[in-house]
Amino acid sequence: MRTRLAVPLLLLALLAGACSIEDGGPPAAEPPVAERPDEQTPGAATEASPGSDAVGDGLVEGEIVVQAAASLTDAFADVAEAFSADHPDATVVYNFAGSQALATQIVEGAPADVFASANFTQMDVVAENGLVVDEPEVFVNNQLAVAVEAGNPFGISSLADLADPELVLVLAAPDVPAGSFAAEALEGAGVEVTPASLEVDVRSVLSKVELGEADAGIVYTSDLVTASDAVEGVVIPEAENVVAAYPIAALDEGPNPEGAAAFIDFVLSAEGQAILGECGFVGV
Amino acid sequence: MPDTAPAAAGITSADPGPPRPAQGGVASSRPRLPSAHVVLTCLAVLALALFLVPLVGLVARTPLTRIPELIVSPAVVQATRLSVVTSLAALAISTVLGVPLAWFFARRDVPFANLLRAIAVLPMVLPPVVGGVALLLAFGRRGLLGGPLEQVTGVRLPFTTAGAVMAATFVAMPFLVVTVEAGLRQADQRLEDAASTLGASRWTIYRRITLPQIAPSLGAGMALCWARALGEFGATITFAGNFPGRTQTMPLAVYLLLESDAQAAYVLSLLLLAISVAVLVLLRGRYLSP
Amino acid sequence: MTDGLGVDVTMRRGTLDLRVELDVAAGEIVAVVGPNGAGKSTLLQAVAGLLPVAAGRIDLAGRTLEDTTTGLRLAAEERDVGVVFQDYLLFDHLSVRENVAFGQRSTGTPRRTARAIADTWLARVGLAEHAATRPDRLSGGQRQRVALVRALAADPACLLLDEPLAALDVDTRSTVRRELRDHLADFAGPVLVVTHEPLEALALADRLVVVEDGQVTQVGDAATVARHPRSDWIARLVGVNLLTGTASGGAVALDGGGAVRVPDTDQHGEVFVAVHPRSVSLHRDEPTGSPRNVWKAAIEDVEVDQDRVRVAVGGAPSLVAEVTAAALADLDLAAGGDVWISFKAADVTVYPR
Repeated sequence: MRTRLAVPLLLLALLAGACSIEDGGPPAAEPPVAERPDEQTPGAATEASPGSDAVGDGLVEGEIVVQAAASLTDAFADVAEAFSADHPDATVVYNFAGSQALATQIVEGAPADVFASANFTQMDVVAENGLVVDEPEVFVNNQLAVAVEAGNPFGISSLADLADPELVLVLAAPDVPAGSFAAEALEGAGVEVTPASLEVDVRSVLSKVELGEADAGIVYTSDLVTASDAVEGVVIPEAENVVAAYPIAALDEGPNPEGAAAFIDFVLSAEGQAILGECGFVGV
Repeated sequence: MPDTAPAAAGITSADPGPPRPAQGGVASSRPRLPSAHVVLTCLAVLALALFLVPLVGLVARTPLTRIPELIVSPAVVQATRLSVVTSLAALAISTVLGVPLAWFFARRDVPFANLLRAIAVLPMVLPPVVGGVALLLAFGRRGLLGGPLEQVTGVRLPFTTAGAVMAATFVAMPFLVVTVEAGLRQADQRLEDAASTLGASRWTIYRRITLPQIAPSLGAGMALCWARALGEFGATITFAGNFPGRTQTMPLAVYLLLESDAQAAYVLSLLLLAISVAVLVLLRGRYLSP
Repeated sequence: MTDGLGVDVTMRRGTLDLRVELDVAAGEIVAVVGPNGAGKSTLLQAVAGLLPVAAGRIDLAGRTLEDTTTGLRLAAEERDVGVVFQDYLLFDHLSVRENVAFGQRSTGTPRRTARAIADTWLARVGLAEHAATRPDRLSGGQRQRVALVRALAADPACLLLDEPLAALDVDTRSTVRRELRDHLADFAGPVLVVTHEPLEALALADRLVVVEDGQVTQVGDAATVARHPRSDWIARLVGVNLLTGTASGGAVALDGGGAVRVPDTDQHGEVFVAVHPRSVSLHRDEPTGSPRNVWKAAIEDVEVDQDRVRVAVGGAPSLVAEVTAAALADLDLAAGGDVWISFKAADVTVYPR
């Protein structure tokens, strides 16, 4: 079956039909683990009617270049679509890559209007170089979840279950954000694990589970939304989970400051937050 | 027509006239040559710069004073040790299997030889990540052979050093195969005939006649194979994953260290660079002279 | 002949159909001679086991090496056939000593013994001081000797030599030929030499087998073949005029037109007529005298070789005469002119075809 995330996430996804999650089958498949990840999920903002109140003051136009963390790829594509519906003369152009690479590019002078980072470390690099217009702002949170084989044959329901020595567990390397968050969460829960591999990025963790090479892996909830049917998600209880805050900022030397401001406003708007929520992120 | 270009080169031919007799053709075409040379030289320098500048950049950015300290850091040592082990293992397997394969292609009348050869050298042009995926689908837990293999022998390849060796072998062996095959084709087979008339068995002939003849090719093939195995990244990360001391080879370590300790990554890169240069020096007869 | 070599094979190489039957007794040296492309080397390789035969059998020293009727085919390394290849095929990565010891070592002789045997052979051909050098450092003649003793040191049951002198320059060739002749004479088994040089064959071999276009055209001892060639090719090479015709009493009607008077033998039917060029005289005016073959012919070519001159004349039949340079000056001969030729009937050899 498909990703069985917490109910609100699933409902959101089905409602909007966004984030390339295919429809089909009964929507309310009983989640094996039903803890809701986050009460703050902007479930109220579901009826995201385009052109609501969010960006009322004037339309922007031209190209808006956004340097965005790779984990935002699917979500931001939907964001851009909705944004363009509001601002027909504006085009959002993305450069998706690892946040570290993006930060380096910006510092080295890549012309961009907005930076959406997956962590504060890289945003700080840019900010310390005096390249942001205002104080960076958290626009979305991501949380960790356990990706397991469809059907959850090992019956994973908490981080503690990952300590099973029979289990092939993969994590992201501690050098990358997802890996350090996972390590943090495991440490917080007092769980000692013996991972088979420390993958270079979180997508590789997911693909190892999808391919059946790993029994479980710790990924972002947002990753699970677009994952294949071979995988399902197990929600990590709030108490054990870690919140990854994504900061966004307009860039000082960007050629389209109005566009940057409008884009950031849109991302922070109810509509933008709803789209991000559909894609597995946790709104702010 | 003929005398427009020379001005740029600063050499003007004496005769301005349009008639171009046979000898005049030589005279008026002469000024063109420098300009062509200038253009070609510029492009050549550009090409050289493309190779040189990154090397300079790497050396320049490496914290030379920190090298002694970084080079003995656990991460670097562990990755280096693993890389040496896996690349040498891959080289050994490639030699034991690759030389017979080269012989098979060079000496046997193989049906569909070109097709089989194309399959064998495919990893040379295949993106290594694709190779890694293919290896997973074949030797992974759910793979064509991986499942039965694990059931029967209990051996699991993904996430193990054996998997890293396999990935390295997969991408590196073709270099040995093509080089040795070329050597076998160049070798004078009549010397083998001569040896057989002296009563030498096939094994004796291969050992005492063929092998010495292809020794230069074999050496070059082994050096290339080893260098490729040492630099292997894509197939390893996909098939064997990344775990320090088990599957995290030097290139993987470089990639990850860039995120956390860039200077250590530079040092490791410099180390790999030095090894590559050493291999080139080893092969100098083959690639450094025209 | 239990110790000899018996060959009776047919083979096909490209467009060439090779059909050869020959025997070489132990201690005998037989030269297979013929023009390039006649199939000589093919035959040699078949005997060595380097090429399969289409049909037939090869026996050596009482052992069958190959027999297509039973499907028996011994591999080259099982045949005990030593080969001296045209370009020697020495192992340049091994020392001269290791080259010569190669055969012994390949058949299991301990290294030390094999080297001692090699050194003995090298001493015999005067190469003892070159034992440690690489063969590619040696001169052509020395390489030839290494190739020879490399084959001999393996203690073969028979020896095959493929154009053994072809790779040598003219100056060393005669020396090496003489040495080779001596070494071959010492060899107890059958020896088969392949060459396209009849002179070489005549010098080296007891018996000649002439192969042309895949077929044996003549077999005989050197003297017979030289005196009674049975093909144009061999006649030209041994330097005689060879004509064919039909004999009846003291005359032979030539196939190409014309007739020659021959010694009054009882030869009848199809015959060869051989006339040595030195027996042919040239005259400015019609010669007179006893029963002679005399006719006028056009000079086609004049070839000076030191103090001898070979003059080719056209007509039926065309002949080559060999005269002295002095005679040439007297006659004032030049191509294009006419000349009278004559030779005695007694100088003509007639033998059946």
